Amino acid sequence: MSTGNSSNSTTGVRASLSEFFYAEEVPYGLALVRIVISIALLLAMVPRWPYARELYSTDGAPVPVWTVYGNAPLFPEPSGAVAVAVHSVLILALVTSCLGWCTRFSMIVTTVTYIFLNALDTIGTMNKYSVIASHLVFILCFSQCGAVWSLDNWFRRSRLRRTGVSAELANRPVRFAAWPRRLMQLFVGVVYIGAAFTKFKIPAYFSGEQLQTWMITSYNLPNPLGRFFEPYPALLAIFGLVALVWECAFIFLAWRGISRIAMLAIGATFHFMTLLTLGLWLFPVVCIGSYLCFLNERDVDWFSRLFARWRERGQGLPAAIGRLFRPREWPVLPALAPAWAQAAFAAMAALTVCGGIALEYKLDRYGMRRPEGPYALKELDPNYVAEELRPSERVRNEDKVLLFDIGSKVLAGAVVDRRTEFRQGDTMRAECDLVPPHEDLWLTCELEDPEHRVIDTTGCTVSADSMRAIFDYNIGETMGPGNYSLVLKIGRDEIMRRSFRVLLAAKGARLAN
Amino acid sequence: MKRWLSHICITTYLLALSFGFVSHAFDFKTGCHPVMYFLVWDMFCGWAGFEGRMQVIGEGESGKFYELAPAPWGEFHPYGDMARQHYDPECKQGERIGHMALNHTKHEPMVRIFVVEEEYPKKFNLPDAQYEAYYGKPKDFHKYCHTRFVLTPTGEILNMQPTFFVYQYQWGLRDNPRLMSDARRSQPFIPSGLMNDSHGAFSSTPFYEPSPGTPVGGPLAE
Repeated sequence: MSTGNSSNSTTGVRASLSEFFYAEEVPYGLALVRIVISIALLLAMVPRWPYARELYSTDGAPVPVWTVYGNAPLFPEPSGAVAVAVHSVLILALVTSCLGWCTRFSMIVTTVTYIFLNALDTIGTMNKYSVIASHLVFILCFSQCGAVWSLDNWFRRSRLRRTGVSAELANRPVRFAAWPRRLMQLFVGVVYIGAAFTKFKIPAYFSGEQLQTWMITSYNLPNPLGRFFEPYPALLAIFGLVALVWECAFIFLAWRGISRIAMLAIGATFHFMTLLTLGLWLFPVVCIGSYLCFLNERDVDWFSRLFARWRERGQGLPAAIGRLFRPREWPVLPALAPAWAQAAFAAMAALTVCGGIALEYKLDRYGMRRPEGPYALKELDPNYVAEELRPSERVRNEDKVLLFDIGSKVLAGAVVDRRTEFRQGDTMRAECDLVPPHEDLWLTCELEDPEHRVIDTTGCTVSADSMRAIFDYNIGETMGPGNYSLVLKIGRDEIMRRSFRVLLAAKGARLAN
Repeated sequence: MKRWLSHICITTYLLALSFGFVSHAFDFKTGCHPVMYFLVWDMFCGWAGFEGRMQVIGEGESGKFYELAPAPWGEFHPYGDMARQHYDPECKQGERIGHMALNHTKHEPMVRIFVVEEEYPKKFNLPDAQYEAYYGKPKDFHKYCHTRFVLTPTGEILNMQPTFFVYQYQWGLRDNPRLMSDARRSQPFIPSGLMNDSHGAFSSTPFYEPSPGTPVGGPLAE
């Protein structure tokens, strides 16, 4: 009978699950997530504070998430003063979350106010990094992330010391069930595998075309490297495939051993490259910040020993870093009942609300209280208006083409070796990349000899949903040495021209023609 | 009790994540509720070869035109160098943004509000030197202007057109006489709306959908 085995197996699974979710640990990882995410959200939300009235209130132009989905309002849009008050409280809560003061309450206030404001502005505040951050702060509400590296812990130790508990015992960190950290880890894995499924649905991702166009946009923050990668779709396609494999593998391999280090290292590199090539600045901070939930007690011990070794060196940068992270004996604080701390927090929140509203009133975003009265609208030049309101026109042929390159090797559907010299006997491959929207097109490639006479014409159809065409030329002995040009045309319009030189065939080479 | 509460938290959260993942994987109910934005991980799901901007223009009773976005007190740049209104890819929020400017400025009575979608090829974002080195000629910058909405000052739609991309795509399809003939023959007497979930910018545009817009007329003052 297998009943016993089945029962044992069920018990084993339950024990494993229990161990996975409820093993007790010191929440070092979550404390670091709390600190990093709070800083990241401060970077996102402090610059938006002066515009709170405009972005989130009925006195401005909010774009709530339900208008995008076509649903009934989830909650009323706030007035200007309420939006400013909520935004001010959010900033206070982010600061106190970062410091770990009234941590649980701070995290709850952060979560509620951050999601509230995000939901009110889908075009200037809400995006996928803000949603990822919302999940992280939401999970932190259920955790004991303030148990270490926080003001709350300092207050707790001080209370214990004052009651006569030894320093060693008071400083011993408290342990809690791991399930909030486990949920966060699973969440990160689900985000990546969800992102991978998105990519599976976009054919242009696999040809590099999607990344190309994202790398030359000013939609995100400026990026220093995007324009250098944009002309190489084959390279982008290969990078894209590596990223896709990593995203799929993350949730399965990011748990232990060398694969955990590999997954996190690849992830950090991936996000750093999105900063350099796509201009995503806060997205990497949030995502790499979320990796800190993979940090466990053994990792913290390892880093402690590493910093201790570095400190022993005495000089140099590693020693300085080691000293920065040396264990410190914090002074015992005077007696302060938890109720007083909470009262102080409430007083500070009230002060922040009043101060925030008063300051925003003083700033007078709309200029309604200026001595000269409200602003006047800027009058537009009629010629400019006529240009703006002119009838829609078709896209010019030259605007349908992004790249035109010649080479001899094709990888991932794109030319990888751009060349300007070919030998008789070589195969020349010309790649034309189009951008949407374009209609069904007939692309013409004309080969011009050194005297600019057309010696060959070829062409192909490109349907409206295709973005790339490749032309192959066998350069035979009929093409004598000299300078030639390959001309790309759409209709009668010359779009681009690529010049190249044909050299004699290499000695010993035999040509078919 | 505490253990049971944590069981409920874990199960509920994992179920929510799973629903979002399955919904996204099978394109099932991905847009059924705003909360799905928190559960569906479709980052960078679209792309375009053109860069978009949105202009909002007001026409006064005198026939003069006024800039409603950016408002005279300045614009907010949420991410990079672009003002907030330009992050509305379908230019649907022009009316809200225009009204904010009207509500807080002194101006003559308005008769119409125009929401204009501007598009230009992204290749013009390349630095001049790189552009000239690659394309072999100086930039011939050209922007495409496409009037999306004409509204009354109270926000009623007088006229609208589909987005620039849909308009161009449909224009391309209209070049096919056989397709147009078939489409005309099979038009229902009462057209029914069509909902579609798009994962590529152009992957699932219903080509047989009749253009909902008619050409936008000239300004009243002309």
